[in-house]
Amino acid sequence: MRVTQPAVLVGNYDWSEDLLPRAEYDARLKQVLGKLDGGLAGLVIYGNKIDNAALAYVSNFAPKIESAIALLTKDGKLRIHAAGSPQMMVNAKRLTWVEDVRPQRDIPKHIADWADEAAGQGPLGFWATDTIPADLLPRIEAGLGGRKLVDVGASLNALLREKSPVALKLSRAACGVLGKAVAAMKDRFNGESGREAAIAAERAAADAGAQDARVLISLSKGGTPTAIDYPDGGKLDPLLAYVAVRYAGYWAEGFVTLTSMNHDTVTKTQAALRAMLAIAKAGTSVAALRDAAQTALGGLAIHPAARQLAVGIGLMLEETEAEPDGIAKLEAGRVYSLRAGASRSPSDNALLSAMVVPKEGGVDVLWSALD
Amino acid sequence: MDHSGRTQAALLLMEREGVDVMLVAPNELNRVDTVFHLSGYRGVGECLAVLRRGEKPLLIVTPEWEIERAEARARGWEVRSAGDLAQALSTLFPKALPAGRTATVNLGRLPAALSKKLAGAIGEAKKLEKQLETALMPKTAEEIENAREATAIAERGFERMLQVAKVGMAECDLAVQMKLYMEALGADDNFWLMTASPHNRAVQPSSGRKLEPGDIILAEMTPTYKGQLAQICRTVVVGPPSNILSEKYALVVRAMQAGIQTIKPGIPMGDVAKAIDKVLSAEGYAEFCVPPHIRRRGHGLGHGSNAPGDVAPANETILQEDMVFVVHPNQYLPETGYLLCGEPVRVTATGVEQLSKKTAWLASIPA
Repeated sequence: MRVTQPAVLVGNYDWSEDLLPRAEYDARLKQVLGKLDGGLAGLVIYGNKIDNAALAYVSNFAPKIESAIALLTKDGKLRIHAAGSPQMMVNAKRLTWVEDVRPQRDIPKHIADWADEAAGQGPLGFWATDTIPADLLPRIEAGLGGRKLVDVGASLNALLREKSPVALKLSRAACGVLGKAVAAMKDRFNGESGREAAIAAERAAADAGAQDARVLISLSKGGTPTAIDYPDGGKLDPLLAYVAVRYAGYWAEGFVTLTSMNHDTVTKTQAALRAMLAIAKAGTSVAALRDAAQTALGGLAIHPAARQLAVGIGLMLEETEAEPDGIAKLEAGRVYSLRAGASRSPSDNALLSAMVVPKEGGVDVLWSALD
Repeated sequence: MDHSGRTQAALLLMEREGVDVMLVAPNELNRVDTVFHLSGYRGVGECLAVLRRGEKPLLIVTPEWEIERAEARARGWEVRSAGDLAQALSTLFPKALPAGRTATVNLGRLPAALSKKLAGAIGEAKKLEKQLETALMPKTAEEIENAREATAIAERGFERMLQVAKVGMAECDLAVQMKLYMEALGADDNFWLMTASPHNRAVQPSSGRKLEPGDIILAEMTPTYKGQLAQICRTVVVGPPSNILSEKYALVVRAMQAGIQTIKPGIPMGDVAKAIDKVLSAEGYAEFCVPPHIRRRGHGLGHGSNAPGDVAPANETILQEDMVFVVHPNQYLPETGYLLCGEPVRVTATGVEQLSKKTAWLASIPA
C-alpha cells in the first residue's frame, strides 16, 4: 500500500545491538557477498528515506533525510555516505554499526573515488530500491568512466524476502505494535473524528516502540483510506483505515474497517479473510486464496486495494517479488500481509487484513483484523 | 495569485517556450511537489499533471482509488485515476507527443523504472524545472493564510515542548511527541529536526540520545498546514543558562533582527544575509559567517517550491510582495556551539511582516 512520505523520519532509528546483534549483520554480509558474481569488484547499495531496505539489511542505516549509499568491498568492508553536513554525522553514526560514516555531497564522485581506492578492477554491483530517482543512475555511470555498473537487485532482493530467526522475531514484535495501534484507533473511533483516531493510533505505536507509523483513513464515510491532508473531516462511520508501523526496521501493516452498524459489505469481507486464513499454508497458491475470497464475497467485487491478496513484508512495506506478476504461492519462512476487501460503491467499501507466516499445514497469525 | 492563476502562469510559460504539452511530476524525495503546487493535490502514489494548451488541466493519479481525494483537492482540474501511469499516458497520447513541442518537469526525480517507461512514451522533451518554478513563484492568498496557521502551530508546539521536555527523555521520544501534538493541531507534515548536546555542531534529525543537564536543545520546527510550510528555530538550555550563552544568544537574535529589518520589496535576497553577517562580523565572527560553518541564513517556505530560494549573499532574487521565507542566522560560535533562532516572514508592500507572534528567546527547562 502506498503511504504518504514524511519530510523527515522523526522516530528512533538508532542501531540497537540488543535487537539486531552484530552477528546478524556479519551473517547477512556473508550472504550478500556469497551471492555476488566473482567478477564484481564491489557493491554499491542505495537507499533513501522512502525505501531503505537494502541499506538497512546490511547496516541498519535508514536515512532520516534524503538518501544514503553503502559501499561494500569484496572483503566485507563497509562505508556509508549519508545526507547532511560533516557536523551532522554525529547522529548519522548512531543509525548503524558501521564505523565509517561520511557525509554525502556527490554520490557519483563518492562511488568513483571509492572504486579507485578500495575496490578491485572490474564492474561494480548495484543494489538499489525501486525509488531511486531516474536521474541518479546515469550520473553514477558517467562518473565511473569505463567501469560498468551491474544491477544485482534481482539476486539480492531474495535475501530481503527470506527471514532469519532475528527478522521473524522483529516482525512479530512489529505486529504487536500494530495491534496496540489498531486497538487505540478502535477505542477512539466511537467518540472522535477519524483524524483523532488516526493520531491515537500513531501515538500508541510510538508508545509501544515504533520507529514509524503511517495511517491512512477514509476521506468520507465508507471511502477507501487515503492521506490525512486536511485538518479534520469529522466522525466517519464506517471508517476504513490502513495502519503501517515499523519496529527495528521491520514493517507490519493492517487494514481495518470500523463501523457501529451491521454492515453486509464488512460481514462478507470478514468471511473472505476468514476463508483465506483457513486455507493459507506454505505452498498455497494466490489463485486459491482469490477463489476462497471471491466465494465468500459472493457477487461483490474485490476491492482494488485488495487485488494483491498477498504482499510480502519486512524491511520493505511491499517486497519486490522474483516474478513480475508477483506472488504465485505462499512460501514458508516469509512474512505476508493477506488482504481481503470488497467494494460495492465509492462509499460502500470494506478492507481487512492479517499478517501471517506460512508453515506446513497452516499459518502463524501474527496479527489479524478479525481479532 | 490563486491556483487557477498558477495554471494560467504555467500555460503562459508553455506559450513562451513554444510548447504544446507539459508533463509535471512531483519530487517526493526533495520535498518539492510541483504537482501539489499546481493543482493542490499531494499524491500517495505516482501522479502526473498534464498541461495542454487550449485544454483543461489534467491530473492523472495512482492508485485508482485516489480519485476521490484528488477530485476534492484539485479544483478546476480534470482528474483521471490509473493503475499504471505510463499506460495512462500512452492512452492519452496514442500517437506520441508532439516532437519538439513537449516539456517535462521533474521526470528525472521519479523512480527510475517509471521514468524510463514514461520517457519511452514521451520522446524528446525540453526540461523546464527552473522556468516553471519561477513562473509559479508568487504565493496564493490561501497559502499565505496557511503559512500563518502553520506558524501558529509551530509556536504552540514549542510552548508544549517546554512543558514536556525533561532530563532523561530521549530526543526521539520528545520529537515524536511534538510531531503528534502538532498533527493534532492540524499539521499534515513536519520537517522537524531536534537535537541536543552541551556543544552542538549542527541541528540534526533526532536520535535516541537522552537529554542531560547542561544540554542545549536545538529545535527546527517546520509544520505544514494544508501543504504550506512555516518554520521557527528555537534554542532551549537544560538548566540555567550561563552568562556567555545568554550574551551570545542575544547576539544571534540581534543579527536575525537586523536581517529581518532589511526586508522590503525591490532589494535582492542576498542583502538580508549580508545584514546578518554584518552584525556577527562586527563582533569578531566573520570567519564563522562562511562555509563550512554556515551556508545560508534562511530559505523559502513551501511544499511546492523553495522560491525565493536561500537567504544567502549570492542570491540575487529581487524580493516581491507576498514572498514568504524564514530568516534564521543559525550560527556556530566557538564559545557556545551552534545556536538556533529563526522566524518566518512575509514581504509586504512596504516592508516585512513577521508571521510568528513571539521572537526567539533563549528558553530553559529545569535540569
